[in-house]
Amino acid sequence: MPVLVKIAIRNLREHKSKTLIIGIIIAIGITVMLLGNSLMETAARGVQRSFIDNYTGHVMISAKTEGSVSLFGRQGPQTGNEEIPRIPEYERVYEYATSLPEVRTAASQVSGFGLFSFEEKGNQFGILFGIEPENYRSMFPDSITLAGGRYLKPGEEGILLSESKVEEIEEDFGIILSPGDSILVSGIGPMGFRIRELPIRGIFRFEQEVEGLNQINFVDVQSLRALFGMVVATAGQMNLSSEETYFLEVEDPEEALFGGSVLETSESQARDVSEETLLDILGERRPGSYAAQIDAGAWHFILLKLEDESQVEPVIAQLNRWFATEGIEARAADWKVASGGFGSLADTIQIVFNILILIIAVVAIIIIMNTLVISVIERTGEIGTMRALGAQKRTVRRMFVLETLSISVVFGMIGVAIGAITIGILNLTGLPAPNPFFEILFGGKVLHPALPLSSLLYALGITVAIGIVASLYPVSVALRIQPVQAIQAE
Amino acid sequence: MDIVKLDGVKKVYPLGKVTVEAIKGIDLCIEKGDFISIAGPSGSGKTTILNMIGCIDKPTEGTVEISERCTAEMKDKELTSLRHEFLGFIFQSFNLIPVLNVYENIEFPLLLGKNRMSKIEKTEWIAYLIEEVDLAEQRIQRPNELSGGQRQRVAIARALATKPEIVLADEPTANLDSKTGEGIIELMKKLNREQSTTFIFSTHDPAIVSIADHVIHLHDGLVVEEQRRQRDAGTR
Repeated sequence: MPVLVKIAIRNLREHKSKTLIIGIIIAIGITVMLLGNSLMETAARGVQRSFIDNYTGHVMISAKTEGSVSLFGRQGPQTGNEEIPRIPEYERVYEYATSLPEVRTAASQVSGFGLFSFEEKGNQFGILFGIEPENYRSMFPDSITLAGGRYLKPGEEGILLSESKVEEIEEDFGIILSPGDSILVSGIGPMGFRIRELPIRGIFRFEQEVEGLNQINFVDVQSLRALFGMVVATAGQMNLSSEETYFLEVEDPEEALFGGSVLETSESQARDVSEETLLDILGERRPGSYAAQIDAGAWHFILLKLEDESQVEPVIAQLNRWFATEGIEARAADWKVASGGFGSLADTIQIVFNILILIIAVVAIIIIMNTLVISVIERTGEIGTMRALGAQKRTVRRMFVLETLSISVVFGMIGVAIGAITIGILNLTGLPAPNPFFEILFGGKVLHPALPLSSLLYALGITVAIGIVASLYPVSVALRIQPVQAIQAE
Repeated sequence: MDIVKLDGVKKVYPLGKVTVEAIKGIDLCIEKGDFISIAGPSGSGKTTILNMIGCIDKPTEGTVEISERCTAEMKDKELTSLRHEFLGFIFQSFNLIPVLNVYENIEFPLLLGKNRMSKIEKTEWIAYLIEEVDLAEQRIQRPNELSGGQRQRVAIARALATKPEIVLADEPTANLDSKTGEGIIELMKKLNREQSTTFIFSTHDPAIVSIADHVIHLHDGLVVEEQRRQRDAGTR
């Protein structure tokens, strides 16, 4: 009814201060929401892109575990130093996964933590990714740039150190590491620490550096398996050799190993503590020796990149169905699971932000509602008159909803415009991450926020919703006004 | 023909823990085309009677019939339609819609409910009413730009917009000076003659009462006297 639109608009103009209070609240709310959503969504996309392109691929296959497992270790409740379980029936799983038409490339990986030892000077922590250089590079061709040295060659023993790790070591210990040097690496496996000296083949930096992930270093997989004690014997259930069980049983293993009794009292027992056993415990130092003992099929993860990003969910579902059918204790998951806490960080922040928006929306609704109720009470005579003249309740309802919607839409659009302009400016200038936390969140050092259509529609939807919700109570108050009140009103 | 019929009407209002009997039992018949004044001091029940005839209040006891329709069992929606079709209202405080101008205020009732007039008819009818109440020059002015007398004239034109059978006016002159008040009543009487519309108005001003053809005197919720004067020659 055009007359209702006329009344609504003129009333809003007539009560400028009220309209402005409500309008400004709506405009600010929408601007904040649009900006926040844009930043969050751009950041989430950035993090996703960064992880998929550089670390996780689209799909990660791992062994089934109680808690979830990421490329950076096991998540959830842990009973201490739990290792990441190996993928059972790796060959079959790899063959099936790579046979899927949706899969473009695949790379397998072993993950763990290690310590770089510098004798008395101390240790430096590092994340170690055990890879097959060729496969890994074809999977993540642009993820790293070499700052020195060269990439690992297929089958070659060695380590690629991250540039920031090298800088940290230099800063902490004054040791300058260069390609060609060797470094002592300790790995923690099911049988404790193993130490290995690895030649540094190259020093690299990630193209999209994410704080926390600059701790990643690449090691040839065979060396990493040796460091983590991923020998054939430990595949599946842990079967200890008689020498190892002997050491577990004795009260003082050190005494048993090095004490005179072992060497002096029994010649045969002394022979049992062979160089091989010692090296197995300490970690083998010479390349190639005892390689037969290391399980060449032991992998923690198979990472898959797909032809089409929209196929992630179906491929994961298909793989998990196949694992269930074949009775293989493996699991396929997406990049968020693979990235551990990093991927869900953006989600968590977004949830917190959405809760914040919800609080703002509730406060806005209460303020708007309150202002409208006052307006309804002030207009009791007018409403009563309309009812007396023959206006049905629906006419009164329409009039108030129209008023609220007019404010919401007009000021909502102003909020959208301010938000869009701000986003546009930030997109051009870039928003630098103030600290490492924001670097993770932004998926890089600078964020160029975009304005996705979904955010825009979301903002407009919220505007209309706020308008409608805020008008519910005032309208109910207006509908309770009886025509007789028109006569009583002065 | 009785256009309004009140039969044994009582109205009791709760006031805290006690009840107040505003109307103590009234029987009343009003003929079509009457120009009738309900007179009495404050608190005599004038407004209550008008509210019940105007279908904006219901009796506690007894029945009210408007154009032979009993209002007792009607729902809010039906009562609203009845008000729109049969009744026009003139309020003591004018009660114009402040954001609409003179023309729009008069037009407003015509925009509610069913459209019985074409757009041209509507425009001509509003123009005629504006002429009748002598507000042609103020047609685009807002209520706050008008004097009290002008506002009440807008209210009279608005009350007649839907061509109702009955126009109810609750103390229409109470907020006006006596000269303007008399002018308003004269205007109502003129329209009563021209349109054959029944006018029922309440007042406690003897000067205004004297203009009415039919006067009902109320006191303490009861009719104490009913006077019928001969209508002016040529009324019908």
